Amino acid sequence: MKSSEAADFTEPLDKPNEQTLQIIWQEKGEPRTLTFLRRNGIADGTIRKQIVPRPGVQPYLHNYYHDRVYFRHDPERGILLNPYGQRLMRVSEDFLVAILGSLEDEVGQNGAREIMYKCGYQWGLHDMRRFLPRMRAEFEAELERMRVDFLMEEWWWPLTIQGWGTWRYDFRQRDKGLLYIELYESAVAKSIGDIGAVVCYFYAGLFASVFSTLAKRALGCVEMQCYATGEEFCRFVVSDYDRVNAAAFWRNEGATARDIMKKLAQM
Amino acid sequence: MPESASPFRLKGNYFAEPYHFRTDVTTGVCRTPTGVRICTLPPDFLLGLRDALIYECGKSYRTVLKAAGRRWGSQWIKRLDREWTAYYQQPFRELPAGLIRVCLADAFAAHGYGKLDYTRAEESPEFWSAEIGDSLFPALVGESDRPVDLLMSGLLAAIFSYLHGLTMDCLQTECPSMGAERSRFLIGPAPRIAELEAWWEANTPLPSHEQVLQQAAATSHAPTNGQTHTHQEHHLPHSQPPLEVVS
Repeated sequence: MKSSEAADFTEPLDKPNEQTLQIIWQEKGEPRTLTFLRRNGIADGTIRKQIVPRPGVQPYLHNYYHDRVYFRHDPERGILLNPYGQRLMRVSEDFLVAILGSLEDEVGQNGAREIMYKCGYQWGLHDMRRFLPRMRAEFEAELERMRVDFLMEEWWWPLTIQGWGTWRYDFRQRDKGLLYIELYESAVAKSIGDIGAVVCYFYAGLFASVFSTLAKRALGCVEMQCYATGEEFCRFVVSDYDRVNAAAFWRNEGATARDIMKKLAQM
Repeated sequence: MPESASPFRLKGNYFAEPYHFRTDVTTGVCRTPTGVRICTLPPDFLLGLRDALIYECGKSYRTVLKAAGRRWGSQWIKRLDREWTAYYQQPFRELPAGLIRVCLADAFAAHGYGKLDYTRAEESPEFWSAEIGDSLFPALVGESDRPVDLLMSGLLAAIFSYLHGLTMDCLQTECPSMGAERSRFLIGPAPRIAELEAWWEANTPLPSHEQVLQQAAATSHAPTNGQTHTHQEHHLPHSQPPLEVVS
């Protein structure tokens, strides 16, 4: 099925239908995205059922998360590329504060939050469109046979080197449909500081779309606690919309993350 | 331009690699030597931001994005001013205009925004003509019927406002998303840019950069006597103190 046949341009940005999410799994990667990582003569391009360990030099460079390897800077042209050939842009913390301030000026506080969440959601969808085919090619294996935790770590590493902080996920309540994420050194919250309200809407949208893509069904995400409310780190829950809305309600009523997690487990 | 009592010291590119941006992968935090946190935006973030703004704000997304660029730029240039002042041991705005231009071009290049250059418009000296080669946003967006380098428009407006001590605005006249080779901008006093923008928008097809400059010259107001700028010349005048190169 072609992408254009299934695309629904009326669906909300943060609630794609299952067909849209399925299409992301079928995206074909561009071969040039791995040019910088491929070791010619060793990589044969064959996609196997699962990752096959190989002795000696690997077909692709996998650990490239160092400043000098990840960031490919051409000072003559003023461009910055990552190893996948994508353009990047460095910004100081002022940028995220400015985005938040401008959005609040234009559409008010609630509107700004919604836009940031949707921005994060779209960011995640764009990201997964590139990430999944790249993983298939880089590890020369079918995605369906890769472990989810392996996929998740591989997905987050570029964000770590890009300065978006580090994370830890907790799948222990996945049978109940609850996934918890802890985020450390949030670029948004650390830039804005302690303002007494959660602010990591970009991340919430990002987590929602990434886990929606992996689960192949639309999920939501809400931040339960935030560095900007005086906590040590930020904590999110990813789940279906009913539970996410309930979590947001309890948070707004003043419940702690621990209380929200207890209540969600009982729903 | 005020003359400095002592020779300034050439110290090379402030952003010289590989030491300027350092990431600690154990914490996922990147900082500059002065401790400023740096975040690298992937193209997917920028496209997501644009998608969400268009979806929620419609056509006024252009205003929001430009306002964000202006707000960001006004903070960024203040921060750079402090850092460059400490680096050159001389107030940044009192450095020769040529050096200021090089510093700004280096800053744009180091952050991945493209190759910046600017000059005073010969046709109308109250305006500056700027261009960014390999600008990021047009490269991401592809084709468009309007210029898309809105963040850079706001950023340049803020930087020039700060350098001149006046409220300046910026009009993007050419854009790679519309088939141009590079992004080109006209920067000038905000009321004059507003007039030119209204004229520019009313024309079909949209006038080129040169046509906008001609229009600016044709509608130019006489310069006010005694008007002062903190940063006017874009060539080093002969009266500059001698350069002292340090190793």
